[in-house]
Formats: sequence, C-alpha cells, structure tokens
Amino acid sequence: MNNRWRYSARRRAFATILALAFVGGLGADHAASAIEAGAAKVAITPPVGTPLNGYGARLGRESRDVHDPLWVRCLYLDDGKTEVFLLSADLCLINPELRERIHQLAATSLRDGSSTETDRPRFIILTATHTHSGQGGMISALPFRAVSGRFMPEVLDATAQAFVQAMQSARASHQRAAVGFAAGVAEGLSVNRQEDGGPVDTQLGVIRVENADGVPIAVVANFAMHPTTIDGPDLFSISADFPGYCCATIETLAGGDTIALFLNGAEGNQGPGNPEAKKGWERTESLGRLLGERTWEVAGSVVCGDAALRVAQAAPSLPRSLADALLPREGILQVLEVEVQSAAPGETAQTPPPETLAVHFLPGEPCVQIGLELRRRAAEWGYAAQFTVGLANDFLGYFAPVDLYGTASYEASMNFFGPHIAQWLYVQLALLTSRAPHGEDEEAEAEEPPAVETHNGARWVTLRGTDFAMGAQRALAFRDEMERAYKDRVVASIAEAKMIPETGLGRFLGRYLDPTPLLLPASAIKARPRLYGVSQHVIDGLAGQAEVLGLPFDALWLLESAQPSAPAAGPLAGTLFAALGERAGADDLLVGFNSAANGLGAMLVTDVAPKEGHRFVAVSSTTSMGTFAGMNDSGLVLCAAPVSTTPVSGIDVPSLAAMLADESEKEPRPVAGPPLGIVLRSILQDTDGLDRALAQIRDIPELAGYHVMLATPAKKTERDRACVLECGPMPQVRLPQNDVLLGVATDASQADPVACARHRRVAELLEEEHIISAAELERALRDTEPLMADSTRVWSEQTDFGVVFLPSRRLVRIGFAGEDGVPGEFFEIHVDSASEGENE
Amino acid sequence: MSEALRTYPRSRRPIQSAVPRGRGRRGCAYGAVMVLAVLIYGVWASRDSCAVSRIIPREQAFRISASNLLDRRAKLATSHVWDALPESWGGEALARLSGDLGAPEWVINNLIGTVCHISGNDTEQFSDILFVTKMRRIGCLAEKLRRFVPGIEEDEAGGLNVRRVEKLGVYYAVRGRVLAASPSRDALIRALTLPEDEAMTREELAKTAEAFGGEDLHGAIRFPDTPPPDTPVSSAWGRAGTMLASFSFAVRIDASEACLRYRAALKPQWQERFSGVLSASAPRPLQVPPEGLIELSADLGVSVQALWSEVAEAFESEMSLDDLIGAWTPQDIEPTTGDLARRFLAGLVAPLGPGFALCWRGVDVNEMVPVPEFVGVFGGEREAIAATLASIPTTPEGLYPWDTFPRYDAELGRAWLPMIGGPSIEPTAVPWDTGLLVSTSRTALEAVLAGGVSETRLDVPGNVYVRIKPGPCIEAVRALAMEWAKSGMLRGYTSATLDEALAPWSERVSAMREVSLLIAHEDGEITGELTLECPDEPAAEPAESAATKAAAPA
Repeated sequence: MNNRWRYSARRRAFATILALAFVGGLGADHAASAIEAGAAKVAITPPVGTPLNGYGARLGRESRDVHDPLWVRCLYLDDGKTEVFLLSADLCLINPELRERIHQLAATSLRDGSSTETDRPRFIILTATHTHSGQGGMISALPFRAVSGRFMPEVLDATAQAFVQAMQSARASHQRAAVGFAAGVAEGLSVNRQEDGGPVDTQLGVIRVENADGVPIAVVANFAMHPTTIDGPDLFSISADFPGYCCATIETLAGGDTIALFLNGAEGNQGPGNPEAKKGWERTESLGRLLGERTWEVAGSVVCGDAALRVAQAAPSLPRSLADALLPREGILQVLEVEVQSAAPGETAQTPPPETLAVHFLPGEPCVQIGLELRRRAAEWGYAAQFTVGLANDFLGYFAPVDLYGTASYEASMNFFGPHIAQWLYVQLALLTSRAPHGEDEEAEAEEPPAVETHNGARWVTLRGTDFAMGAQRALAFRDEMERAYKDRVVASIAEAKMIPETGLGRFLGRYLDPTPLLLPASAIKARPRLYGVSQHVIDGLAGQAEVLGLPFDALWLLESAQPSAPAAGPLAGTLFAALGERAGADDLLVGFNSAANGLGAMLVTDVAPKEGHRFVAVSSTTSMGTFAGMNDSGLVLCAAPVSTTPVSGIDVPSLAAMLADESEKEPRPVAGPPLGIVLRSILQDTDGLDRALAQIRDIPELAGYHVMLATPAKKTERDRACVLECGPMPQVRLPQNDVLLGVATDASQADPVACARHRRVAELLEEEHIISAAELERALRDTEPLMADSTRVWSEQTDFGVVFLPSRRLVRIGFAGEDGVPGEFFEIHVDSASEGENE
Repeated sequence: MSEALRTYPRSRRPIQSAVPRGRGRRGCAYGAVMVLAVLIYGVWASRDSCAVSRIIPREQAFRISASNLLDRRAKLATSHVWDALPESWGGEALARLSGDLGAPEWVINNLIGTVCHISGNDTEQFSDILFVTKMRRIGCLAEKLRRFVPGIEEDEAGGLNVRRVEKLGVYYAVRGRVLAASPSRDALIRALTLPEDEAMTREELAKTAEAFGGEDLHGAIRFPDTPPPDTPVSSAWGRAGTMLASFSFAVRIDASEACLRYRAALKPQWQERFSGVLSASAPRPLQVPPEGLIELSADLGVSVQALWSEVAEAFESEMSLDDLIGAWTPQDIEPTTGDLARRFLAGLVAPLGPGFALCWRGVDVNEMVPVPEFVGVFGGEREAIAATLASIPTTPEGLYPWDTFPRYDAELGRAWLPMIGGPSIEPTAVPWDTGLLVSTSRTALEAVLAGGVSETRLDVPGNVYVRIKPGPCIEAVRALAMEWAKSGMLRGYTSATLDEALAPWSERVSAMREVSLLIAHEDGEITGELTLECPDEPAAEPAESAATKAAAPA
C-alpha cells in the first residue's frame, strides 16, 4: 500500500473541474454590448390523472383536476459570443431523464444552420420552480417513484418537447435588448421552517430584460421560498403554486408579451409565510401576488444597459454517498455572470463602471445559510449582486451546512453527501466564478501515515496536524480494523435487517429483493441526529477517516454509531481513584484508573497534537465505546467506564425495519447523542475547565450507566477540582471526601458489590499513606491480591490497562496487561505541548 | 396357346459340358438340397414361436410402446419440439437413433420390429428397463450370425442362453422372433422365465395399442400403492406417485408440435381428498379466457367460494377465503365501516361460479411499484353481483376520493378500490353479461372491455384449461426483475448479470410458442391433452390471437 496520503477528494474534484468546466463569454476582450434577447412560454399542464411530484404522502396516486395551468418559460440571451437559454418550469424538480431528453431534442431542434452556430458556446440552464403540484411520472428510477408516481414516458416526452418549443420560440422572438438587475427585498413572505427565528433570506433578485423601447421582454424573479402552500383536499390538483400567481401578476402588470420567470433560491429551509392570513388557494394567490407586485416594483427601479454574458459549467465528482446506487456521481453546477454597463445618466457625466451579477445554479435544495454564504463571498469578490438558484439541472436532495447536518430535521435528513457538502459547493462554485480567487484549496499537504508503535504491550499512535489530517492518520493506522468493523457492524447489520416481512408474499419477495440500497441511506438518516452538538473538530476528523477508508461520511458515522457485535459491557471491571490536596502531596492531584475493554475493541494509546485545540493523550478502545481515559495539556482528566449492564450505546440497525414499517410510530424518537469516545475526545481537545466539561457530559443520554471521573489541576483556591459523574436519567455528581475520590461510593447500597469491594481495597491500600505518591497509586492499581473471588482483585484477569495521571506535571503513566494478564511495566508520556511526542 | 408355327434351329456347335455329365447333375442336386436345407433351417430357425406379450411382465411399473420408431425417427429427429425440451427428455437419444447405430441399416431395420415395448420397475434410474420387440425374419437370422460379430458374449444363464453385448452393457435373448434386451441380467432372466399368469396376454397388449391409435409413442405407468422407500417425494415422479394410481399416455410429435394425450386414475385417498371438488365435475364447455401470457379457465361444477374452500381443505392450507376477507382492513376506515367492506367482499364472492377464467396479462413495469396484472371473468348471477356492487356503502365523511375505501360508480356500474400508485394497482370490478369481470388493474380491465370479452367456449369440453406463452412470460419476468436490478435491489444480480442469467431461459423458450393443458375429470378418471407448440422456424415467433388459439386448444 502506498503509505503517502493526500487529500485525494479535493484533488480529484479540481481535476474534474479542469476536465469538465466549460466556459463561455466575459473574456478579457469581451466588453458589454447590446445583446439579443427573446422570451416565450409554453404550457406543460399534463393530462388529469398524471401523478404529481413532491409529496411521498400522495403515494403516487393520480391527479384529479387542474387548478391552474403549468408553464415552462424561457429567456434567451445572446451577446454575440454566448447563447444562453434560461428556463424555468412549473415542476418540482429537473430529473435526469427530463434533462437528458431535453438536451437530446435541443441538439437537433436548435440547429439554425448559421455560420456562427458552431463558434458560439450555447448554454441551457434548466430550473424548476419547485411547485409540489406539478407533474410527476417522469422518473424511471424505481425508488423515486414513491414520490413522483408511475413512470409515464409520454408525459416525459411531451414535457421535454414543450421545453424545446419554448427555447425555439424564445430564440425566434429575439430582438435588440438591454439588461439590468437589482437585489430588492421582500420581507414577511417567507419563514425559516426548520428553526423558529432562524435565518431568512429576504433578498428578491430581479433581472430585467427590455427592448429598445424600454418594454420588458422578460422579468426574472429570484426568491427563496418553498412552493408548499397547497394541502388537504387540494393535494391532488395540478397547480404551479405561488410561483404561478407570481409570474401571472408580473405578466399582467407588465402587459404585452412580457414573460416572467421565477427562479427559486436557497429555499431548503425557507417555508412560505402567510402575510395576509389567508387559507387554501387564497393563501397561494396572496403569496404569489405579493411577490409578483414586489418584483415588478423592483424591476421598475432597474437601470438596463449593454451586457456581456459568461457561463461556466462543470460536473465534478460529488463527495461519496451512501445513496450512490440511487443518486448520480456528478453534480452539475453552472454559474451565469452578467456584466451590465449602464448608460451614463447624462451626456457630460462619466460612464459608471460596469456591474456584474453572479448567479449560481445548484442541482438541489440548498438551505438558506448556503445562499447567504455564497452571497457574502460574491460580495467579497466584487460582484454587485449574487443570486442563488436551486433545483437547477438535477436533483441531489437538500444541501445543509455542517452545523445543521446533525439536526433532527427533514432538511438534514435529506442530505446524502455528508456534512461538508456546503464546503464542496463553495469550492466548486468558486472554481467556476471568474472573480473568485482560485487555487487555495486544491493543493494539500502530503501526510505520512502515523506509525503504530508498541510499548510494553500497548499499541500507541501519534496523530498530528489538522483534524482532517488526524482523522486520516487514524484511518491509515487502523485501516484494516476499521474496514473489518464496517463489514461486521454495519454491512452485516443492514443485511440482516428484516425490512420485508417473513410471511406469505413477503417471504417470496425477500428471496429476490434486497433493500440494502434503501436501508443504507435510511440508516444513516436515523444515525445522523446523533451528530447533533458534535464539534467541528470531530466532524472534520471523521471526514478525514472516511476519506482514507474510501467511505462516505455517513458510512463512517454509522460505523461509529453501530453497536458492536460483542456482548454489552458488564459491571465496572475497573477502578477509579483520585487523591487531591495534601493527600496528593507535591503532585497536588493524582488520578488512577484501571479497566477492561469489555470486549468493545482493542485498547490503544492515542497521543493527539491537533493544529487547533489542546494536545491530549487518551487510552480508549478502537470502537469509541466502553472505557476511556485521557488527559489534555491543560491537565483536564477524564476517565469513564460502564458500571451497569445497560447495553452500550449504538445504532440498532435492524430496528429500522420496525420503525419504517410501523406507521403508527409518528412521534420522533428521542435523539441519542454521539458515542462516548467521540464526546470525551472532543472535550479534551476543546475544553480546559472542569465545569465546562461536566456541562457537556452530564446530559448525554448515551452515557447512561457510566461513571465519569473528571479532574483538573485548578487553582488551589478552588475546592471542586475532581468529581465523579454518575450518568443516568438523573445524573449525580459526587465530590471528594477527605481529599479522596472513589469511582464508586463504597457505602452506596445500590452500587455493584464487586465494584465496591475493589474500590474499598484500593482505599485500604492507600489509607495508611497520608501522602499518596504516583508510585503507590500505581502499586494499588496493580494489586492482584485475591479477595473474595478473582473479580474482586483490583487488577483482575479481565483488566487490560492501568493509568495514573499527574495533571499538574502533565504526566501520564500507563501500563498494559501482558499476555498472561499480569500488569506490565508502566511507561510515561508528557502531555504538555513542549514535550510533544516524547515518552519514556 | 398360340397357333403360330415356330422353328427352333439346332445349334451347329454341340454344347460340351465342362464337367462330366453325371457329376454336374449330381452337384446341382446337392446344391439345391443345400439351399433347400438352408431355407428350411432359416424358416424353422426364424419361426414365430413366441408371443411378444409372453415376455412382458404384467405388473411392471411402467410400460411404453413405440410403433414404427425406425420409420419415424427421421421425422421425429427433425421436429422443432426437441429445441424446446431439455436434451435429457429424449432429443439426445433420438439424435443417436437417427445417426450411425453401429450396424448396417438393413440389419437394424430387421432387428427392431414395427412395435417396441419398453417396461420396467425402476422409475428413478431405469436400471431394469426391458426392451422387447419382434424381429423380422431376416433380423432373426442375422442374429444367428452373432458368432461372427466381435463383442457378443454367450451367457448360458442356466440354459436360458442369454447374450451380452459388451460395448453397450446390454443383455439380450431371443425367443422365436422375439428379441428381449435389458441392461439388467436379472430383469431379463425374470422376463424369460415369467410364469404365464404373470405375463401380459396378447389381448391386453392389443388393447393398449388400440386405445391410443397410431401415435408415435404410448405407454402406461402404474404407481405402487406405497412408493418405494428410496423414491424422493420431491421428485416429479414421487409427487405423481403419491396422487395417481396409474397414468397412460400417447405422444405424437410433429414438425412443430407435440401432443400428449393422457388418462390418469387418482388413488382412492386422493379421490376422497378431492371429493368435494370432483364430485360434481364432468367435462364442460369452458369459457375462453381473456388473452394473456398465462390463461386459465376452469369449471368444476361448484361455486368459486366452494372451490376455494375445497381446494384449501384438500391441500390442508389455512388460507380460507373467509379468513382472507376477514383479514382485509382498508386504510383509514372505522371498524364498523371495515365490517361493511368485508361483508361486501363476502357478498361479492358468494354468487360467483361455477365457471371462471383468469389470465395474467403481464407486468406493468412503469407502475409506481411494478405489478403483475390479472383479469378474471367469473360466471354468476348478474343481478346478484350488480346488487352487491351497488351495495358498497357511501364513502364515509372525512375520506378523500383517493383514500383506500371501496367505491362504486352507479353510472358506469363499476366498483374499485383506490390503493397506492396508479391505475395498475387499482382493483376494479364490473358486472359482465353472465357474471363479473374483475381485474387487479383498472387499465387491464378497460383493455379487456375495449376488446370485448369473448363468450366463445373451448371446442373440447373439460374442467381446467391452462395456456402458457413461455416467451412473453420470460420477457415479462425479465422486465420486472430488471427494474429492481437497475436500482441495485435485486438480490444477487446487477442488470448485466441478470441478462446473462436469463439468456439460456430466453433461448430455450424462444423455441416454444405456447404450452396448453386440458384436464377433464369423470368418474375418478382424469383425461386430457398437453400440447406444446413451437414456431415453424425457432427464431421467428408469429403472434397469434389468443382468442383464436384458445378456441382450438387441442
């Protein structure tokens, strides 16, 4: 195996961009000039009975009537060097079958035979208004028919024909034109449907194209809002929803042959408001009318002029996805730049500098945060305005920013390309945007895989660099183990999941049908909310691991969340002890811990020196579950071990079948937190105070059944520098008594008697010493004197390791059990940043 | 006599004998005597002194007769039927028979007589198969020259004079002009030493031949009351043996068609088991089923409801119709409305029958979930059926038109049940002239209505008629499986591997046009025909109207 590793995904994406990007217009010698423009619309209303696209709840049933007609509208622009067909259709989305059919028809229908035809690049930009009441029936892929209904090739063909007819008509009607744009505001129309008070994009982008007489040829409105105003008994009526009313209002106000196009924006989490408090169709009409009127108002203020067009498009490889079998591998991106040279206000006045609009077309539903970020970046790059247009050219689901990825929301669950999809979009769109600085992301530092060393029977790995790089190093070090674990714990679990009933027809179908392609992304959706609250460091680290393992991010997260096949952890097979103040002598604070892995994976020592955050050393299992002990360079110590027979936290994949099959289970399930190891590593990297660490741990339901010891060498004036958190439905914090803190209260009646005996033994061993030294604590942890039975030894045959933390000296002493179970020699690791990588 | 004067001139040269006059005459006489003696020996040695029936045990498990096998072998070998059948079904043997048999053809023709009888008891391995034929006189004499043929060993066999053809591993013996051969020495010896009362009689043998006329092959199989312990019940033979007491058949194979006429007797326990179904059955004119890839028409003289119950009982199935109807719970309806719906279904089924015809029209692969489409034409009391349909309760308040609840359109006289997806997953029923027309798919039902439901009856009466078009069936299955394979949801197959896996099947069924089976029952005996039709040219498959074909199934 090649032991050099690179950020292959980013490099691959850049290479794809270079290979596929196709750019037309706006060269150095390409100044704004009068352009040719035309517009047209063609009806695409399907026959009644055609299923509608947008809601799975329709169960693919047939439409029942037409409430208002559906149209495809086309704006044709030609600056002499670039031809652009911008289309907006009253459809839910542009699916691959439709796109391919349109391009197929356009290739023959748009040949004009002119000599310049082959010289000029021609761009077709296909967008959907996202009405949820437009025709379905155009998707042949089986899993998506649940939403779009039966596949009707005749509807697909008729719709594609209408698109091409609109393009032909728009071009045929071209005339001398001027172009202008403006970014207006439309407040109160949309709401953030995901989060009360969450961000709302009120920008109303407008492009005005007018002829030599100043009469509008077309008005384009760009606004982010879900066309989901229709429900109840009207759910099976064909309608363009509010965009239909919006366009009709603009066209009525403009009069003549003006064509209005509606381009939906970053509407992923932008729902329709109800400013006039209407119901049913009246609400739809109200929203459309208000938006149309506002658009016309903004369009009235637009100053038009000569223009130059630039279009760049590419289809870079998408990040890996668990829904690979269902979704495309490439994402089609387009950027349209319109440079407008407004005329001087007067003869003597100086011509104002040209202003450029950047329009980013995305093949899915970006959440508003992505639209706002793209706008911020465009402003930084010097664009006068930026519009984000979703639902363009394809449909890859929702695009949520990383901080929304782990939320238990519909928008997050419909993300299929990992938490960094927003970053992927920023990078790829920047590559297509002429004024964006290029080349900052594509070259990545080379990383060596970390060496996995063995010290006295302990496996030891040192990780350095960014979180992504450290994740990659971790994966490089444990690739085989992780790949095996993925097969055993995820793939096997999915394969065993019983989605199809094992009786009657189900038994027959189960023999032939394999629901894995659906179960994988569905399981990922179920596991995703456990990411909620996980720090960006962790997500980046996981992304690094996924990259090296060649897995989608969701697959790695399923692995982290999946229950190990080993039996659940038993009663605490370890001992937690802390001595403080005078009892710790000059060391001020000593924490000792020994434990067993409890069958939850091999134990290893990880020395982590991140680029951002605290350096720390941790002893944990490779599964991120079970026992954990670690200390960071601020001296914060965290030790955790399971004390009850509560099953170890994890995603129970087979239960997914029950969840999906049982319709009665409408209530959302309680959201579980991330696995223990992930949480504690994240705290060690990000936190230096005991209180903050405690606050982060205490409410995580997944830690129920754990005892966590926290300690920090805080100022001597502070009293509570160590505590034990007994996690559970009612978390309890226990403080030291007489400067000694035990992991289990030996006098607690409900405590496990074996654990009590073990802790009592340690306390007895150290009781005689008024000042406990690290060596004495180490000896106590290694005590193999039989008590009542083998399991009541402090160091039993199950014990895997012992560790003594000296927080004030940032020193860790670790010993692992030999093959015969006898404790091996302890070795030291310095955790302060100055001694990075040193150990004895 | 002619009166013409004839003159016979003498030879001018005297004819001189090469041998002395006395010796020549004697030689001729000896020669004549020798020839006569040989002729007499030949006639005596090839006398028909043994009846074929005398060597055939009466109690053999199976017995097959083939007439004019050698004459017909060329015709049989060139039939397209063999392209449609597995090679092990006889095509291979026939090819061998039509090729070089290792002896001059005139010898073979004389060794194998007009009728060949094959019988035996081992129905699994055919290890004791006994072949009996009456040789022609020449063949019989040719056999006498065996000493000059290498590879034939004499086996005294206690004076039975058995011979063994080493190369073929076959024992044979000749009695009069009857040749008996078997791979089993014991079976051959048993046949040669049959007590008279255990052998067939001439009359019995003649009667069997008469029953099936001049077909290429006819035979009878007698199943033991208790199958031999080593007979696997899962095998076709084992399954047939559990149900049938005997099975006799005749096969005709033409250039593009094979026809099997059969007669079978059910074992008493199965007669008892099916008594509810069969007691009322006698061959009836069957309804021509709607056109489909698989068509079924049945009339056993009992109502559909009774038929379902009897069949479920006969096969010890727990799927009683009442339970099925009882288990059906339409979505989003109150329990009381659910009871109404169930009562409606029960009321609808009650007047159906006794005759009905079903067809599988194929798979709508474009439906939200690809589904097979079935159409059924049930006989019954039209008024009762129409009244039941009209009794569908009004849709409860709060339900939308698309919610799953039975609906009835009085104007169209049509009832349907909205379900998920499109029209191909919408069970629909409409009263028909003499009963009920029902389909799992609205579009399929409308197509049948548009084409007109045929009222024609099959030419040959029967109780069950099945017709299968294997090529379109395989194509429908392929299209269905491909939809799932394209989404990666077909267990063990991708689109490419599925095509590969189905290629041999497609190739095989391309040699078949259709298979039809007619079953008639009367007095505990089942008779009928199984027909395999092949295209004249295997590559070309002319489509023929199902209605036309169904009208003349035999």
